[in-house]
Amino acid sequence: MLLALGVVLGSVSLRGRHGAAPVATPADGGESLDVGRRGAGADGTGEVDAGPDSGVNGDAGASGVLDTPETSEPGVPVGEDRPPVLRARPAVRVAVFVAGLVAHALLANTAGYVVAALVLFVAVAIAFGAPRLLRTVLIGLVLALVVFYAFRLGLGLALPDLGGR
Amino acid sequence: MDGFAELMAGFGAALSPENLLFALIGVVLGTAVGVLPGIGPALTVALLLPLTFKLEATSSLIMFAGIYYGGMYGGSTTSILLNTPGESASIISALEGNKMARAGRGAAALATAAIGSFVAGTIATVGLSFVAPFMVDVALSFGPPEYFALMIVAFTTVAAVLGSSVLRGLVGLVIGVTVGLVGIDVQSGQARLTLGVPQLLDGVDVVIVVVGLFAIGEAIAVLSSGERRSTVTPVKGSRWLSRVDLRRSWRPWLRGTALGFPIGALPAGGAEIPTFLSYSAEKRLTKHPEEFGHGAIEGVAGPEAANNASAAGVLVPLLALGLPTSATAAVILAGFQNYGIQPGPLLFSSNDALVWTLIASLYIGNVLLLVLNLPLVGIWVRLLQIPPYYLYAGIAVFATLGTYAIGGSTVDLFILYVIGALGFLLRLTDVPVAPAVVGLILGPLAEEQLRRSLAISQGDLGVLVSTPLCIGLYVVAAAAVLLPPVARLVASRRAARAA
Repeated sequence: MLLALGVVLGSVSLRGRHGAAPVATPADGGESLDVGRRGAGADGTGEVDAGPDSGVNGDAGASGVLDTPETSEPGVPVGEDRPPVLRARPAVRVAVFVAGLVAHALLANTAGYVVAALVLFVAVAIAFGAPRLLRTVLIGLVLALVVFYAFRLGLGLALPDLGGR
Repeated sequence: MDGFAELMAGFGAALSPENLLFALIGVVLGTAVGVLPGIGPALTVALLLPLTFKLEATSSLIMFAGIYYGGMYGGSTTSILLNTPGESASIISALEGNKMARAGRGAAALATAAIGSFVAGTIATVGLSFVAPFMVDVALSFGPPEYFALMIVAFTTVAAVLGSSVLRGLVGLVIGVTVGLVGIDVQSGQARLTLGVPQLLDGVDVVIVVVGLFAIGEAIAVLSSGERRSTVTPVKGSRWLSRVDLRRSWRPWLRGTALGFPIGALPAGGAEIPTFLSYSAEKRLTKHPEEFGHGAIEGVAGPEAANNASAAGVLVPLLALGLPTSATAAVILAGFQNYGIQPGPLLFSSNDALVWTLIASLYIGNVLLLVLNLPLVGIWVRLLQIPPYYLYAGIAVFATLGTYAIGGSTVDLFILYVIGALGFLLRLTDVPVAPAVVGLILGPLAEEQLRRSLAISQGDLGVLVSTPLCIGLYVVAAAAVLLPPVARLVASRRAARAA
């Protein structure tokens, strides 16, 4: 159903680089569209971490938003119109979210912060309906590494090393 | 005038490159988190509280105040362009703002919100500069009983104002006060409410509570409520206000300021009330009543101005009395405490350089925010495009990070999760979180004032109602709790009789 909605919205907004992206046909392997979207993805990680500076240069994909011509459906849907990795009832999603939190707490001192944060990021993203597992893992890894080193170098606080303390 | 010279000295300090940088970081971060759904200024300041161990007091407080102001600006962008409004104070501007955006007048809505916020923020900051010293003069004569009574007023009004019902607000407040009492009592050395967990002896850190309630609790609530797809309305038209729009906007800006600042400056809570009042005032006064409900610019200009003016207003009781009346103000107070500084009348004599630098930085922050939110609004629109799954995953990572940053352990992480679960329960039952945060931070302070009062009177409770001012304050507090239910009862009686 989500897919159908995506096709409808996508075809309505078949203009602008970003507007065109959400057309979710099964044949769309994704690689051809990756350039624009990777920009949007990098924006996602960079933003939470550093503020809008990364928003300026991180996002090539969404620049179509500001000059989209008149549409009958005013509104660009947020996120991608791809089927999520996890399709489940809210209760299951909450369970995945909580499992991610618990795993994070248990892994932090055994497997190290980076692994623990990666697991948390991926679990939460999947609980919230992220498509594309591989991309999610990559973004999570980058974020975990950035946070780890920013903490160590910037604040001088040591997060648990790889392999625990 | 003495205060003016001090303010000028404050400008001198605030314009130093370092302080300017922190003001800029603050307003940029504040706008970002105001724009992003699911993360607000209270949560952001809480996550940055650990920085107080590293930074100088002036720098970090300038940054926190910038986040507070920036959050108010950023929230308007979201409520205008996103069909699902973010924070409660900007719901009203979503009423007309989102309609305007859908009708292709998004740019005008954003412009009137940004300029209105600037006008209101600047006027209200001038108000702050003049009213705060006056309030300090009054407050210098207060003793512990008066402070305790004032805090009770703040408690009850925050509880009455920040929720869907007084009872729910009080429940949130009591939960916050209870969590605030966890740990060893300083005077008697007794462990209170620690449930035998040694990690609780030091109390629950503010960061953990705020992050748990806001980030984790909110995330679970969003997840369990199922999916709702957000759409961002593209911005069209000129970035500047047309002459007609300007003519229709300036009066609502000033009226919004006139409503927002005094209500915010009362030692009672809430940015919501002035926005509601402003909206209904504009609806009544407009020459274009047919546009209301379909995107009237007055309906954006007024509430947005009221919103920002009340943010500046809230800083008056925070700085002059040490009374936080919003969740963000409460967390900023915790930031002061980390430096061993207690806001209140003595702050203006003991740390006058810090106070006036902070106030001066608010003027500068407003100018920075106008630039950030008018010509550069496009950047923030792009932020809205971040898919919610990455957003919440990032929030989760930073939420747990806040626990490490205060030197927390695995046990602290689980405390965070338990508080997150509590936050979810609060949302399920529609109990507001903001009174809980105010109770958490103000609760121990109120206890301290109560004990001081009783120490002075040697245990005689009569000291609490020993002056007319105290009695008056308790009457106000009682009215805040009792009036809304009574008014509702009267209204329903009247409706029943009419039917």
